[in-house]
Amino acid sequence: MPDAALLGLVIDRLETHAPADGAADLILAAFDGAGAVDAALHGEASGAPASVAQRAAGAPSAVYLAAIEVEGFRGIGPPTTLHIDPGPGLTLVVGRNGSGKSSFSEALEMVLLGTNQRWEQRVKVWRDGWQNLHHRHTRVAARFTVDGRRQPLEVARVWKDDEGVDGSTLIVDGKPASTASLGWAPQLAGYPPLLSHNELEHALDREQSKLYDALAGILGLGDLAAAQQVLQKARLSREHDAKEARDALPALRGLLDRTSDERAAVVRAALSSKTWDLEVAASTVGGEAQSDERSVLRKLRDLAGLPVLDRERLNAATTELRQTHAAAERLRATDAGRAHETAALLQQALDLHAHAEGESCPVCGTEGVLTYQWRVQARDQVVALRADAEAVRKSREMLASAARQGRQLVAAPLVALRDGAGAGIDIAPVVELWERWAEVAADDDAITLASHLETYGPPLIAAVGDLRRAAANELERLERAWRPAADAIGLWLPLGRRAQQAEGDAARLREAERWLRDAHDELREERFRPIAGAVQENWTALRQDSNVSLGDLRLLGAQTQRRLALDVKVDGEEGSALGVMSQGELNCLALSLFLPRASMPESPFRFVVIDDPVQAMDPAKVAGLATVLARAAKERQVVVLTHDTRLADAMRALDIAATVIEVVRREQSVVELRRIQDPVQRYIDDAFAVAMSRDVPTEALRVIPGFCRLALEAASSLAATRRLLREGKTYAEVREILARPTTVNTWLALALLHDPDRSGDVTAFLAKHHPWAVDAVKECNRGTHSGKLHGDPKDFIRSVEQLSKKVLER
Amino acid sequence: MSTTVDAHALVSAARDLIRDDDPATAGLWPRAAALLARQGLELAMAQLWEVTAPGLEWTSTRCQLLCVGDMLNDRELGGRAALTWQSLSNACHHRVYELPPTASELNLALEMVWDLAEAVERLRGKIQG
Repeated sequence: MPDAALLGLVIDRLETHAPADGAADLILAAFDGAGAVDAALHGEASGAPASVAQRAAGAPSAVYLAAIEVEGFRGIGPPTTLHIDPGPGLTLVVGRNGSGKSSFSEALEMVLLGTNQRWEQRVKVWRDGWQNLHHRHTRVAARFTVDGRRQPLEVARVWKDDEGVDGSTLIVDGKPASTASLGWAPQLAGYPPLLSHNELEHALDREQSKLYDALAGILGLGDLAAAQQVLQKARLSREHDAKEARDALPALRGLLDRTSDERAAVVRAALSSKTWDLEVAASTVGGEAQSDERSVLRKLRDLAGLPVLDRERLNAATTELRQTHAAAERLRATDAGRAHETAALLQQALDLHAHAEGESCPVCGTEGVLTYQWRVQARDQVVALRADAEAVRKSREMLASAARQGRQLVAAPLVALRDGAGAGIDIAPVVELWERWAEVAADDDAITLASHLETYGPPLIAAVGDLRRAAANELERLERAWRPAADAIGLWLPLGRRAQQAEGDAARLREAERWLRDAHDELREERFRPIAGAVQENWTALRQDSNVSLGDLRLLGAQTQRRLALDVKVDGEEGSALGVMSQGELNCLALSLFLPRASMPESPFRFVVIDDPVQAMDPAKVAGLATVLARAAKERQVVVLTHDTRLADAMRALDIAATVIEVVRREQSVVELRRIQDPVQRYIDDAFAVAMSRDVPTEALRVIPGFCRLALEAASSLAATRRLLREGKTYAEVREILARPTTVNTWLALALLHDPDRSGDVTAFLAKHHPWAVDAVKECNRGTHSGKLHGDPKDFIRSVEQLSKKVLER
Repeated sequence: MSTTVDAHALVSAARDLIRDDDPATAGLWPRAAALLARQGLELAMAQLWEVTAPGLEWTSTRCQLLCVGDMLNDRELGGRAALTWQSLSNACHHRVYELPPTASELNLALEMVWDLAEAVERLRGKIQG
């Protein structure tokens, strides 16, 4: 689930640095995974990632270390508890190698991580020796104080007797639990609170990318990088699709080039331009394309569909012509016009006679002709004349109609035929036949027309039929030749369509990726700057007299190119970062790098446990380390395990407040822990402890002068160190001076008279300033060797304690 | 305070300190044992000079240690004595950077002191008896 705070930053940035169209959706979807990106590409608006609302950002509950309990593990036998004050501050756990101190950090690691990969990498001897030899019941536990909890959180691992190292059971607050229930796994990986000596020593040996990962993890930009990868993966799959289609094109073009079909050229052109015209290609292949007039295919199709004269219509037309002609011949004698006019005249005469008296003819004057009989005859004659006239008219009309029909047959257009020229079919004979067929004079009579039709019709019908068949054959031949190319394109087209979609998608994805990369790089720089600053501050404190200075520190690149860029200068000259550094310097640098990482505010762990950082460091760097640790301890609980007292001494010298816990191991792996305020008080306390004890054998009382002398020497050493550092001596110089005193008097001479060579004057100085102490110092010197003590041991110890305070006051 | 104490008694007391898981001596036992061991070593040497070279006990410890091997006619034991005294002295003085000795270091030293005390006793028996 993406980090809500990070998503918030991304959403804000989308407003201030808007990406190109369509990329914003993808950027947000990328945080929800590949499925969401696909949906966004398909236009399904996802809006803000689902997870934004689900997780409210908040500072994690602070976890401090309160105690580490160890039993029967590594160098520790009977149960032993290392108590640490929860809260910021510095705790040193000091013990000789083999005292069991590292067993505490190993136990803490075991509690938190179980047998993890690091454990597997250890040598077999180490792995086999996980259980203590003297104590075969094993339990490791840590108690933490957690903000918001009243009771400390107890996390333990227990083993059944004879169980292997992997067979532990995790117990949280007394109940068996899973590692996941703690919910610390991501933080343990991102902000590891345990730094072992081994890690510090090898941190900088590793590949650049590992070093990058070790530091980049703390920047909390993992989700951003993951989103980038989601986009990249989506883009690569789309580019693959597009490439698949494009890779198939050359072969397809070759096939089209070899195909002489006119459609090949069309498709070729459609697929040649930068953006393919897949619609043209598809319709051309599918045959729905409109082709122009010059198209051979169109001509052939027209020729193949050329209208053929209907033989039955032709026959019907000639028959009609001849029959109407014969009918008209029969009426040839009848003068239809005269009959019509005569009928009209007679009708007029009848009409006139109807209104006039007499039987005389008004035209010729003949008497007595216009009788009733005449009227009857005339009326019949009018009817007969009219019928004759009508028959003639009808016959003429029929003849004309037949002629018209005959002419219509020959008048059918020739356009399609003429346009068919150049399609590879010889149309000339048909054109000739057709032309002859169409040659009909306007005044041809019916018989001429009929015989024209009878003469030229049937050959034309046969010729057109042949032409149509030839055109159809040619079409089929072309189609057969075209089929392979058409099939190939038909197969490729879906790829092409997908590729076209994919290329559009890829462009959007690229833009989204670019945007995220820029955002990532900028946020990375922004977030790493304070860490780089802390690293440099640490290095400045740690390097002391090292001639290596650390310049700019940057995280660069991505994926396989990711690296940590360290600008290192040796005596002011640019140098290769790590090659010039000593192991001690490398350890310092690693610590400089990892302390800020463990101190990130995002980490719930307010503690950091560092195992033996002092090894391989020279004394001056130990003083630097003390400073760095003290600085870190202001905010964090810093626990340092170390095998000698250099760090503790340096802290005392620099007046750095720290709790020092001394670890000593008796026989049978009995490990004891003691808190020590300062060594002077410890020796005084030890002397008192022996003096007051009733159980201690009398021989043991002989050690009291020895402890008292140790107290005086420790007080002198501390007083001298502080004075010398105040005077501006370097730590190395101080160390040299401190190596000189061998007796209590030389120590006192160094502390009180500022000169170890004046040990002879110490007694006189004491007699003058602290007369009560003269005998006490003598007793120290004598009694340490002889074990003899005069007077009351407690009074003696009190005098020594008093003198120690005086020494420290100076 | 007992004056009749011998080196063997000091070694035994030191061994008890190391061995006994006693809260009263927790933490202080390593230096206490070292102090007792060194006293035992010096006592054994003093007893050696008593019968072989009276007055040698007033010379420096370094000088005395150089003579142990010759006086006992055992150079190896003399060498071990010098080495042991040196390491015990480190524990008996405050040294910056020095932690108390470990139990095994102390046991090794105590063994040496015991051997020296026995050698001295044998010689004294021979000379006196």
